[in-house]
Amino acid sequence: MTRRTIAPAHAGHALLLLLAVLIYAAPGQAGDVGRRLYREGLLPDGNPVQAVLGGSVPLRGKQAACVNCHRRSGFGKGEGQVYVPPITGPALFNESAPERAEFLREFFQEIRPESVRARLRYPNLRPAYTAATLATAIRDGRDPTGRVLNPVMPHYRLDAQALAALTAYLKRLSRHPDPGVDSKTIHFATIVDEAMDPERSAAMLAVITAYVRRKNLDTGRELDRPKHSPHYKDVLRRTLRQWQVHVWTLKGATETWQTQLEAAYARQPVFAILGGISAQAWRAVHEFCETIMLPCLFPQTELPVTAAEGAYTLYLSRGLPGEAEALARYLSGRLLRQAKTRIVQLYRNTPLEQRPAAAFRAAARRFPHLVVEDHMVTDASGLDQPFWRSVLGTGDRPVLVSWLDQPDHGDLAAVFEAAGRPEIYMSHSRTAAALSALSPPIRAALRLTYPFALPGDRAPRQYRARAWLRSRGIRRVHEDIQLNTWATMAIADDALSHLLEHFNRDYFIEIIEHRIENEFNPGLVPRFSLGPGQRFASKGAYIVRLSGSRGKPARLEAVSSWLISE
Amino acid sequence: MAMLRAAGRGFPALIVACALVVAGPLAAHEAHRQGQSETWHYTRSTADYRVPPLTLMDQNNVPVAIAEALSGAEPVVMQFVFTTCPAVCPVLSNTLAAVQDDLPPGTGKLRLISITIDPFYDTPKRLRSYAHDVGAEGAWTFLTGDPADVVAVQKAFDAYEGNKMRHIALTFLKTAPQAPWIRFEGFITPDQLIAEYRSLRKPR
Repeated sequence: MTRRTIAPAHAGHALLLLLAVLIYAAPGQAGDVGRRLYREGLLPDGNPVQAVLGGSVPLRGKQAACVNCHRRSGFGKGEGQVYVPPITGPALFNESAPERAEFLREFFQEIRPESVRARLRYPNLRPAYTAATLATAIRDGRDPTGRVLNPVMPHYRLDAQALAALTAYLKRLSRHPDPGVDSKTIHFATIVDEAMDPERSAAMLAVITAYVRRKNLDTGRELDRPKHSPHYKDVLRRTLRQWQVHVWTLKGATETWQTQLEAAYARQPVFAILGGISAQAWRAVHEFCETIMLPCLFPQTELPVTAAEGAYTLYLSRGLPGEAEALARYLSGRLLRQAKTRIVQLYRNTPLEQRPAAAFRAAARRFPHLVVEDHMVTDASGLDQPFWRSVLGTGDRPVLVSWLDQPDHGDLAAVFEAAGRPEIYMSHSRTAAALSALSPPIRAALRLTYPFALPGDRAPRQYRARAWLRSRGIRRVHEDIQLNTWATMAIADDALSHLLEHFNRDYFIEIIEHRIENEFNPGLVPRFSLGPGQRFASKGAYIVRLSGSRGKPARLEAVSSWLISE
Repeated sequence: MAMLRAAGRGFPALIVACALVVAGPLAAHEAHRQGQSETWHYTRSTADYRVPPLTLMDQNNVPVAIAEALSGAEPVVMQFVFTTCPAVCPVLSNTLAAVQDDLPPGTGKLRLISITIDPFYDTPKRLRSYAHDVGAEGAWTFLTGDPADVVAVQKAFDAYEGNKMRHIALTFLKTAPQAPWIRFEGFITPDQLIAEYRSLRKPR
């Protein structure tokens, strides 16, 4: 692994990158129309496309969009018993040929029912598609040899203009490998926010370094022994690459990150960003990755972009905003039969408190019986008794939701009885370090959002991950960061082995969406799962309370089911 | 026991239609072979599934007792789907949408139930939006629930694959409270499903 620190932006490189982005993003009008048809099922005139499935099931618009089955990359993949062939430019407009590496992967690395395995056994050779034969396939469901296509392929009603636009789009679809890969090396980056606690950054980097070293040793061994080829390993040799992970250290305000990222990328384009760590908003990196269509896998951030789910950043969880959404859902159910309840929400003017407060406010707005009263706490507030009396009042027993990071909250204990013992909600991740110092009444009233697997409910996979870390001599420090990093590397590694030589970033993400559920959850959360378009591997939180007596370590006990963000 | 057959009236009709379109005996033969070796056919079996007494949540946030919902007086068709499903569910759900729209008058009422196998993502709100996308109307309910409960329902129907991406196409039909479940594995066309339903509704 090389270490790099980001220098000030180089004007020439930035311009080049901008140019590349423009070419990428504006492929001409016909291409845009074709892309809209492919991805959204809309015709050139903006009307929904019409198609018929199996001779009798009408489909229209989004339901008939090519992207549903063939995916954004065009590599297809399918699910369960449906085999979806690739329809990338190179796949369609070249003669099809049996490919052993593909066959081995589909046959031995995927769990497929007999019907798909049977389909894989006969190669369905065909000549390259032409515009005319492609039209027949799309309209009538027959390939250039006259063979009938799989009947789950709809027959589309397209006029000449729509067909030409779609054909032009398909010709270009995934035509070239994406940047960051050459014949020997695949380049990745990881991101360190310089403002981050260095011990936490080091915990992440240690796992990445160890993983890459091990990976490259294994790859080197395969490449060094060309004669030793059990299990057709020689077929896969040309798909192997040495990994190189560049550390992009981001300095200063997040507004300047984009320039720094562009400069780093211009120096060495990478295929994907693996991990990354910051205590600030992740938005700058998220937007950079969306703009240049760069996969960004599982950054460790409490502040992901949650509003509009993009295409290129996969997150471990919805972070603090997700906890706030789960809390709103919990309270909407818990307070359902009561009259309007006043919810006093406290936060400071920092992103780690403002973001969840805003998410809570937005989520609570959907429930008319939840009345949120915001109080932005400043350093002058003091959290003394007068402050608490004015905020909590005396008669109506409000609910307190606080995103502040110290659970004692100044003089809260002193006014707690007089305020009618209000329910108090906080975030476990904001307050965990100080929970043991709580006074008994506060402790009894406290409920915490807890976006993790409950203790004692952790995945067996955690043992394997721990063993891996131990055997690489990695000291156990910030284990949550270490386990999440291990999972990120293992997921990328697995997806890369399924890409074979198709170094396509969309396909990379699609494979991860498809496979993450299998075995990668190191147990910090109840479940990792994704699907087409899903961007958060874990999507919920429990509400827990502290049990056990004072002085002993607190036990966490769930008072809710796993609450999922809407 | 699973009973394999080239089901119903729809399948031969499809072959004939293909033969007419491509106008050649070779192509017709191809169509037949492909149809059998790939997906547009189904197997049919009969089973007594015990539905556990669990409560799921419908697309309008209304709790639904699943055992009762699946054993009411009206006939019911049930499928397992999820809203971000790439290839299988668009076919399954749009087939039900066509059944909903094409059920001949006088056939009686048919309730449709789609249960998500992705409760970690498919909230009632997402199911509502999915229902809208496939054109679902009043008698069609979409259900989610606690993940463990959703798994229990799948297991009760011998439909749990462990991973939603290994999802297989299943459609279940029950014509009366005491009648057994009919399990269709694979893709069944709306015509075939309506034909199956009508043949079962006939007095014996």
